[in-house]
Amino acid sequence: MNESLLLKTDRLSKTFKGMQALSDVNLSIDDGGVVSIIGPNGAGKSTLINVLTGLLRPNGGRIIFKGKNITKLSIQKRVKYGINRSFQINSLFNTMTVKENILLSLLNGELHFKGFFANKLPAEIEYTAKELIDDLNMADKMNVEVDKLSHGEQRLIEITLAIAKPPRLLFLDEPTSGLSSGERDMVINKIKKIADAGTTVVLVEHNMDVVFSLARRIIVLHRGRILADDTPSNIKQNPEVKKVYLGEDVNDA
Amino acid sequence: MKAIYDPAAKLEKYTFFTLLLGYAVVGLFAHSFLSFILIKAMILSIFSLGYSLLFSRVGLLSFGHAAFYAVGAYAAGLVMIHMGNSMVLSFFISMLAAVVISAVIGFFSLLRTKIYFAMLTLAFGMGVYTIIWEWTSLTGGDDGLIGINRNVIHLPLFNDISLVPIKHYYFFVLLCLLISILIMYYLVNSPFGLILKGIKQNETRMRYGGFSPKIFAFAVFIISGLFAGLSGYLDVFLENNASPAMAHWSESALPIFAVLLGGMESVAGPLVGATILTLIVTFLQTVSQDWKLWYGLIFVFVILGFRGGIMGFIKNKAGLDNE
Repeated sequence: MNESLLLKTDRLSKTFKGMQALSDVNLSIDDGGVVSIIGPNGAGKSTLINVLTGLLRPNGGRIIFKGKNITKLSIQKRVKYGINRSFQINSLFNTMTVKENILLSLLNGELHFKGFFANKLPAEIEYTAKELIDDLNMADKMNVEVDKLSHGEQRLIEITLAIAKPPRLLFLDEPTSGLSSGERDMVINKIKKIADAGTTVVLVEHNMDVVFSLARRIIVLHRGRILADDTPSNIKQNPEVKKVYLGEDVNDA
Repeated sequence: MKAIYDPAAKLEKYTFFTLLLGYAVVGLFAHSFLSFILIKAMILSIFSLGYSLLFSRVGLLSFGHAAFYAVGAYAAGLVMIHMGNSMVLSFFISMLAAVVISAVIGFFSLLRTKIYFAMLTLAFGMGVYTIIWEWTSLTGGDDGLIGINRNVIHLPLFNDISLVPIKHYYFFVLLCLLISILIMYYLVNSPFGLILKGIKQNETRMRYGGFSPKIFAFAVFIISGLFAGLSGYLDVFLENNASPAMAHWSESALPIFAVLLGGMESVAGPLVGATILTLIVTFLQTVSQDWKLWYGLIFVFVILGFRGGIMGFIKNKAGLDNE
């Protein structure tokens, strides 16, 4: 087996009420760096993340992570193996404070019995929470409920929740959607930092500037199939990709 | 955990303090009928406090908690009748029985969610009701268990405490209520409470945090079952009997109404709701034959008009509403 292979899928498919959202997807993600998945709306990008991280069960095929078959594992088990994600639409603890959001994402599902019923959280968790909040530049807002923050701030927290316990493989579902260009740069820097720290990032993104400034490899999904899988410069030249993206065949989009 | 920084939490604390002080002061001077009613109110408060952990914090509606209440009562009664008349022994057996039965029913009910979960608890609860009704040799059938009297608690290093006079029993129940409140307050403000809050707000995200929501729901189900069992234990020594009606699903509706009346989002809500509910029902029963009609109308009024219950209303008026 290839030593650097982190995740592999084998003829992965998913249907919704007869509609084929993913069909026979054979994907392999090597360890390290940023891999981007792009494709028109409805290409199956979010479905792919949902299936790979356990939110949806595939109708067929296998998912192998670090040599283990994880196809039938729960979300929680996959998280313990080191897979995590962010959501396309912010999925925070809306009426809880920034600090509570961060704390919850730091707590471990296996925090021992005594820990659950202690009147305090362990000091290292409080410490890490403080670091993450400082990193977000939100020390002055840590007791503000997150639904009172701006969309950009919520977007940054969304990513932070997924990386609070650094995963081995991180899926980011359109992390820059709805952001201003300044905020987008912050997110780009954040993703660079995450990747440099040793997490492999799979980035689903619509904004091509973001994709080209981060990805070492680009996978193009179209109608639930992998259309192309290549380096950014080759993808730019790929006629089939151009066709899909430039809308030459409008009915396909 | 820091939950005390906001004035809303302060209001909760004052409410607890005021009500407990009220119970203590009134208890000193109340004659036996009023004492009886207020003990009933405290027992329902304990039931509702435990129930609210499941209902308000986890968001699960159970119609089966009357079963745990009845099991607590019957277990205590059976120990008193067959195993030597000890209120201490009956306490422990009663709690054990409540935990075991709520673990079994909780395990199977939690295989489903939402309305299916509620229906399973209803079915299991009515199963317990039927068993109590039919197993005449053990439970006395529709006569129930009778002649279960309070007696003297012997503790090492302490004087014997007689719970026979209703005034003594009143303060014993008040002590149980105080301990229940402290436990509940501690739970809600512990990491466990934070996790429950997280699960209720965003279950999917909690799963991506590595948590199994079902395990937490199961733990809470048992804790609330334990509180229900405790209220059954306390009730059997107040009424001096246990009857199958205790296990009827309509008994499970009492804590639901108490929590809704007091305020779902409030920690003190169940206590406020249970106290007021008991007083209202007693009042209606003494003035009207059709008390259930008025009771129903009040229920409808509260659900339609006061979604945050009494505590929500007060917080709203005081400008502490976060919503």
